[in-house]
Amino acid sequence: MKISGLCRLLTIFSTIALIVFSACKKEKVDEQENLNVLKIKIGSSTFTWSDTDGVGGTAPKIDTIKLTPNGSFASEITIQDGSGNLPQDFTAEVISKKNDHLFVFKTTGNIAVTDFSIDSNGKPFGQTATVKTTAAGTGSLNIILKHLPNKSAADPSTTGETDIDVTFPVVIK
Amino acid sequence: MSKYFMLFSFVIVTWQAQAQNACHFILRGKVKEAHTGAPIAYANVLLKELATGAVTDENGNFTIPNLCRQTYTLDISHVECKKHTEQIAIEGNTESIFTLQHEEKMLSNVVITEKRVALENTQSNSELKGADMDKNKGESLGEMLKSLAGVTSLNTGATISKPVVQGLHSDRVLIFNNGVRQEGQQWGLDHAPEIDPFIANNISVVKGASSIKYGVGAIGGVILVEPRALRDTIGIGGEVNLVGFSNGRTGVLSSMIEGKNQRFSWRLQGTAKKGGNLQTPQYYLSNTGVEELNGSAMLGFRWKSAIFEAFYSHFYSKIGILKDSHIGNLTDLNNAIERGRPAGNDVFSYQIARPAQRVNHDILKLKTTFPTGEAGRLTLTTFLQQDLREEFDAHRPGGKVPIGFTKAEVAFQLPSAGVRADWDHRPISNFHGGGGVEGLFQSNNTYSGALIPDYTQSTIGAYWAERWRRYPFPLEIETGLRYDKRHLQVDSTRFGERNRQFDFDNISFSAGAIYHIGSQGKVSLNVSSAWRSPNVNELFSNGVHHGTASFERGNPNLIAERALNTSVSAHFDHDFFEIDATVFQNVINNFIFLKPDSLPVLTIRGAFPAFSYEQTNAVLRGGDVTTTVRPFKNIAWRVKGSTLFARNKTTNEWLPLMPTDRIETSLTVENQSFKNMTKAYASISLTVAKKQNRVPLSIGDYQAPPAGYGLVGLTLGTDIKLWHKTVTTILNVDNLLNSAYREYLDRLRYFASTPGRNISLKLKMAF
Repeated sequence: MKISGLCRLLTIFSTIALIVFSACKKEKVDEQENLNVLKIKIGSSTFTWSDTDGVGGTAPKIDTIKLTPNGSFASEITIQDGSGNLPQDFTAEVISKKNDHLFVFKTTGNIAVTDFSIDSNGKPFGQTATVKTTAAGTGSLNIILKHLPNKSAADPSTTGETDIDVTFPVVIK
Repeated sequence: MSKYFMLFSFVIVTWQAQAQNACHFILRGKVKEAHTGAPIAYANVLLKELATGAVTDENGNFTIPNLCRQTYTLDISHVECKKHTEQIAIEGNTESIFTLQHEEKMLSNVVITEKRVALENTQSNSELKGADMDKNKGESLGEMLKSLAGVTSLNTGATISKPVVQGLHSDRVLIFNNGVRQEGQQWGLDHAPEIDPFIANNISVVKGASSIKYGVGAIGGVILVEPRALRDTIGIGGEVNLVGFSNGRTGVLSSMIEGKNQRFSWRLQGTAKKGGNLQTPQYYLSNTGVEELNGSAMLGFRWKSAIFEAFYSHFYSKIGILKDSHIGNLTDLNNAIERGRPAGNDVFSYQIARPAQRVNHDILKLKTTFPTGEAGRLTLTTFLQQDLREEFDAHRPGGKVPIGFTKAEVAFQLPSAGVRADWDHRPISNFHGGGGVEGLFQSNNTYSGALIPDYTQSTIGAYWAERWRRYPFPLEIETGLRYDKRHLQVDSTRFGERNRQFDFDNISFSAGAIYHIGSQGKVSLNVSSAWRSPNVNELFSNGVHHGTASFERGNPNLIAERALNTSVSAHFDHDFFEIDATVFQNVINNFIFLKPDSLPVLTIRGAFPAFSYEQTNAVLRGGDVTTTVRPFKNIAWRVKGSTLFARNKTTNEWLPLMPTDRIETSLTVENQSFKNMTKAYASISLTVAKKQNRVPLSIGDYQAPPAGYGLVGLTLGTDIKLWHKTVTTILNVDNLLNSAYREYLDRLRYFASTPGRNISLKLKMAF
């Protein structure tokens, strides 16, 4: 039993192994974009739901939507990744794929959302809409962004996959 | 690598120095009748060279001590047989079975065959081999092992299947692929073993804690995937396997070619598999295709008295994940459960789209075994291994729909290197045994995604085990001791952890005994311990798990799990009755599990139920039994059953995600021959699984466990002689009645039924 022979054999095999394994070495992918900010501009005010430290950690910051009674306001939603130094906008992407997306609004209290913007098939999209209020009081506004929903379903929010599901408290006074 | 060379060199030099020549080998034999297998008592065994011999006892056993390393001439004779002469080469302690053909008219026709007798396990174990292996070929490792009592599977659909041994799985069950500890990404519930079962000639499962021989992690058991030994006669041979499944229109081709010349023995093996969308009784499951491409090469040679073996294997798989199971939030999950089935009506397709997983696994192993003089035999093994796991999401929130498979959302690369030395000493007054040392190093690189941090981990261990056996005294005793130390270093800016160090160490032991009852029965008892250090995902996990819509929080304060396993097994084997039964208790202290938090985590996708990794004391008790009754010639009635009671001792509740009680019975007409067909058989089986009622009430489930079910199966098999070749042909039907059912341990049970009827045709031809 010669040691040199054994060593030579081991060297050959480990060299092959190192070549094989180093060939598979991959490059690190940059930090992934994360959707974590939703802003809704109602009339001239903007209200923000943001969780820029990502899932878990610090609890999300949620503005209270304050509106005047018996009003009608144009609304517009923007979505962002706010985790970096400069927020990265996702709204344009969603608009470019508006046939596959739908903003669903669920409300409580004296607030309603109507006049959804439409996609290229004439189906609702909802990135811009009209927010209407009646008497003073409190309520909530739940905004859901669905991916690939059935827009013709009785309740499209039960179809497709949910990308966003946030709820703002609402005060009308 | 140079450290390993030094270790090798040191060990070799040390043992070479002890080389001596002495005559203390023992030949232990058993003489059996060739047809019935019955032991032959009072046969005379004579060793010509030493003019000594022995007479077999009533069990056909004999022992001849004090033999040298040389070839002896053995005469075996019996009053009813003519004397037969046989040469036997003694290279160490030898155990052989000799079969004598019993001739009624005392014709001079005696056949002697030799076979090595393996040491019997004191621990409960089951083995899949021969015809049972053929019957399950083409399936994944997890699915194949389900045919063993006490082994079930944890599934993510039908294509991702993890073996569950006596209720435990993932990091608590070790897998050895041709003697190499498989270092994959087994921590994930949807990470299937990265192994091509066609490599194996037999797969055995050691049930229960067994750290002594196998090291850190063997809390629930060990799965040994063993290839056939390399060819030992000069020539070339091979085998081709073709398998087709109706469900998923899956095809598998696996072939092997091997050869031996004066110097080398080698084998090349490869497997290709392609399957499309699976079908339940009512609908297709979209994106459930699978593709696999695996290959392995083995080379062996003798050099002086040393045996060398090199082994390389590559495993590649791409598995589609059921589209409907990729959900956005809890509302989506509840909607899917309410719907009870996938939303769309898909058709058949081989196309694999996102979401999907892609896995590449490479193993390179080198092994050498050589005698250390007369003192014993040393085996040195070293391996390099790499697991690359990539997961592809269907889409990113915010509209980006990734296409193709160039960029994975989650990717980990796990390279490992290991070295071990095992030394078996020659028997010293009825003691067999040996010890060894082992070292393992690995580092994880998370390329994308943030499920687990980067880490490096090194482990060292040393063990010694001895067995006492005074042949033919009916009692055998075995005991062993092991020490392991593991160092874990986590370094990840993403997780805010700089150079965080963890140290774990533990002493494990094992003690067992076998009591032989005649030649046909035995009872064994085993008490052994095992341990497992917490995995990085349990320490640092921090994120939402899609598919289960839950937020998982790691716990850096976890300590090691420790298991104490006690098992009693009995085995009896008579002509018309055979039974294998085991009862066990596995007490696991500091058992790591996911405990629900009181508050959900609020994310931009809505609220997710949150879970944190916590520790408790757990106890798993259960049993499994396999019996075969042969009331008439060539009729076999088999019953196989298993039960498990798994409790959280702290909260006095059931543990979640444990296999249900099940029983399988089959009736087989075997050993039929027609024209050019031999070994023909037909078998009908019924598998009944109970509804899982042993679930914890404090840990909610999104949906109650599914109802119990019964499945009928049918198998027809035969060996057909075609052009002087034997083709083993098996036609198998699973779920013959195409019943719709769901399995508690299938993580996709919330979204869809289990696939329905599956007809398969398996052909095996050796050349």
